Amino acid sequence: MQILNDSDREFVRNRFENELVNEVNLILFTQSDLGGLVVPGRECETCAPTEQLLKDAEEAARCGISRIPSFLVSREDETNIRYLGIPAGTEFPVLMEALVNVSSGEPKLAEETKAFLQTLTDEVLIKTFVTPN
Amino acid sequence: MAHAMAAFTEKVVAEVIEVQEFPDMGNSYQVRGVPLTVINEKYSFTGAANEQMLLDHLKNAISQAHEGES
Repeated sequence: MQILNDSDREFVRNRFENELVNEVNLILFTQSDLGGLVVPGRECETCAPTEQLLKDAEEAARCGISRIPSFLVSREDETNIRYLGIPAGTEFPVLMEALVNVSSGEPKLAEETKAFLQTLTDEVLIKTFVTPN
Repeated sequence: MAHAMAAFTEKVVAEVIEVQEFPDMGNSYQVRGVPLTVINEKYSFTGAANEQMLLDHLKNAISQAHEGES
């Protein structure tokens, strides 16, 4: 299923070609394929899915993810830019902006904002609740 | 805009939540309009905010938290 129409795809391609600087990761947390190999005589149908579930849960906890679908935007192993749900409609440009900001490493912020952010000593959690339209 | 701040420093954790997909979170945060921004689980405001507005809210939220501690 194609989510973006042709003109949107062209717009996105052009923007990313011009503005993405470094590699940026999109790490998606979703449901895993829990199918497993069953060896005749040594059936353990739940071993593989159990192992996968534990691995997924461990990684999700490290990244502060408690819901699916969710994803992280990062350059290396940062976990502080998260999106819970599908970034559809008016939220899609927000995702594009996040990708550009992370990729460049130089988000477009005023000097006053940067100066204030540099004074932060404790973590600040900003949750923004949105709808797709 | 919160994402831009988070891209600048890991001290900022920016989380966007699509509330139609997670209505239980919408209920628990009493979302009545969007966008709703919640800072450090205590300070909130509704409506789109440009960079300066978000910065002002951020300063207010931190200031109020410090007042609550003292």
